[in-house]
Amino acid sequence: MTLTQADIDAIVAAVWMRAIEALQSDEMIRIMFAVMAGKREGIGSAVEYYMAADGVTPRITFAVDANGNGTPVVNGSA
Amino acid sequence: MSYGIGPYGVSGYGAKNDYAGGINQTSRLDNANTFYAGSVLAGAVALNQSQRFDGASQFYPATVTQGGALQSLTQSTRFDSANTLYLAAVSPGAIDINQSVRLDNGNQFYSSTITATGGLVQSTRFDNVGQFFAATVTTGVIAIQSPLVTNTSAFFAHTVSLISGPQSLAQSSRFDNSNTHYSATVSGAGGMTLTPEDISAVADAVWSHMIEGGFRADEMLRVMFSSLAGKREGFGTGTERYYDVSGTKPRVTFTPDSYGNGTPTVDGSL
Repeated sequence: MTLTQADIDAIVAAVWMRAIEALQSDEMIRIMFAVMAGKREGIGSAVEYYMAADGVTPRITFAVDANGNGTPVVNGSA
Repeated sequence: MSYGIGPYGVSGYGAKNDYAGGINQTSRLDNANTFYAGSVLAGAVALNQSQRFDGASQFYPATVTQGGALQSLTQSTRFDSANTLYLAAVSPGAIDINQSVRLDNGNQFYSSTITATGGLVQSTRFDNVGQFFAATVTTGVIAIQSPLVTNTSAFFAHTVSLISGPQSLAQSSRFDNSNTHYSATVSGAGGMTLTPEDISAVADAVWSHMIEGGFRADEMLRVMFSSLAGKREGFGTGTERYYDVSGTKPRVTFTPDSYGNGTPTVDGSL
């Protein structure tokens, strides 16, 4: 059986748009990439930013307390 | 002109021509050369070794066996309920080949509509056939450039080329060892266009794949995400916790020693 290009596109979309929990898998990858390899700003200040590959879109906005605790605001959209 | 053929004749060996006549209830018409515009009706059991049946209007409950070098069923319009048409070349104008049981070893079927055919075995070309319904096509079928191939049970080792316009291989169940399927839309059992359920099943298989330590791919992704971008609590205390996206379920619970060593407890489940 030979898949059509439409079949292949649909499978790729189904895999990467799978909701892993509240986010899609591709959104999670974008956010994790920002933490590990993205431009970061605000380190040493009250709010830290971890940027997308474009260097300007915040993937994580993190207001951290003195011990490092906090609830990040995340943005994984394309 | 004919030799020895009456309306209810038993045999017609070596007959040459029958123009616009009826050949009804005749049991055998072996080695006839040409039938023009004739009707061969019920009871014509065998038409063996006859070379041409051009412009014949109907062949039904007939067995057609062509063995000569010049073989043609050109412009014949109907072959309803024929038992066997083999080593035949059916050219443009053969409109309906309905309910025929077997069309074995046919060389060419052009611009025909073939419905509810049991066997098209070893036939080499079915170009521009209008419809195939409930047919079994096996080894040797080279080219099919037909707009509809529906309810077909098996295509083995052939090239299927569906031409422009409405195209369907709907409900066809098998295309084993076929060389090429292009410009085709396939739905139903065994089709080439995947259903939403097929696609979802592929995604399930990808994300449920076991990566290591009893963790699935989606579980690992949840855990890693919590460590990198999840809510975190307990920093500055003995136990740190990293949470899921909702901020309520601990994904990683970690009680390190004074150097930072320890074994996290992880939970990647939904």
